[in-house]
Amino acid sequence: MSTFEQVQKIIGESLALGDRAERLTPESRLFGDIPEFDSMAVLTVVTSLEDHFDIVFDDEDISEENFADVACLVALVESKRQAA
Amino acid sequence: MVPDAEVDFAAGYIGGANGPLFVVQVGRADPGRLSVLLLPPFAEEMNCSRRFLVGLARRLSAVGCCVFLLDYYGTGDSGGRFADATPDRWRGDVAAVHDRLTAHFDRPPAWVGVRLGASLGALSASTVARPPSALVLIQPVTSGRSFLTQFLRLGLVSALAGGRREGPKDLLARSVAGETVRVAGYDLAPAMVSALQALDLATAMPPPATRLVWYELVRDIAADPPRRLRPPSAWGAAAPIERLLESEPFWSIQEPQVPATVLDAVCEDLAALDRSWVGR
Repeated sequence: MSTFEQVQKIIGESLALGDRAERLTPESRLFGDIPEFDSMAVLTVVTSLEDHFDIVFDDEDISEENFADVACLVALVESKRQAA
Repeated sequence: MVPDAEVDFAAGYIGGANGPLFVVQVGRADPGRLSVLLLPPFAEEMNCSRRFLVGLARRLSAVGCCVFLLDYYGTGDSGGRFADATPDRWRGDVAAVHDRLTAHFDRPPAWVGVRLGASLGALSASTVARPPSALVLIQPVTSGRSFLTQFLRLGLVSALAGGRREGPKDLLARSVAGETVRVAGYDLAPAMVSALQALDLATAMPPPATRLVWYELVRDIAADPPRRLRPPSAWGAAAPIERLLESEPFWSIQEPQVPATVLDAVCEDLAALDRSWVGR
């Protein structure tokens, strides 16, 4: 499973999106295209990504740029995995 | 007035050390029934768990239990302000309601706690005069420090939605300086922050005679990596029965979740207690 597919699955599970998770693309905007994506949801996704990939996000990583769309989030995860 | 043996559903107040505690009773409070006290989690996790707790109360009452859902001091309809709440005050609330139920029913209530509620239960079980009949811990918070850091991250996350950007370090610094910090709409007093930082489940000493059950929830048992959440080894003789359940972590999902696997497990564990009690 690619990193994108894993991130897509984690977002879907964390937000209980059901079948809608499959419609997420790299270009899907997190704030805007997903109504469930509020502050608590972001925190849940962040924690789930850390647990799943065994990575730790720094405070600076939780930024508007990294959470702009799914592709940005996937890039962040991949950079943290490489650094680990 | 709760407990009430005449009605199937009641809501009222029980006197706590710091003010009235709002309690919902589900099921008739016949003294011979097994009573169950539900201990909710913290802040937003409590909101996300509300539907589950109500579902659990209904399910347990359907199998003959009398269930009590407590609002801690400063939360829900209980007295006080969240800004004045501390885990110690909440442990006092648990003890006050427990003592009231112990006086009414033939035996002490069983406790079912979720996340921080489970931790408060584990820390309090040995401090009440008559220990709870059982203690079911649903994914307890093992380290208050890590838990608090995660919660304070909401200060970073809210900045993504246009709010003020403050990370855990900034918020902790303000708290140490004596300020009450607001995170996700919750006012955390310095006493709350320092108490959460100091909370360590390993320091709990659950009474050995209490049936102790520990649940870890995973989304996909077959796919998920090996479990990492284990009871503290320091518990020794009080080592709990451990169950790995396939379920959504309902306390972290805004869309209400009432996982049947967890309801079934709690019913089964308390039914086992009831059988053993009846057999004595």
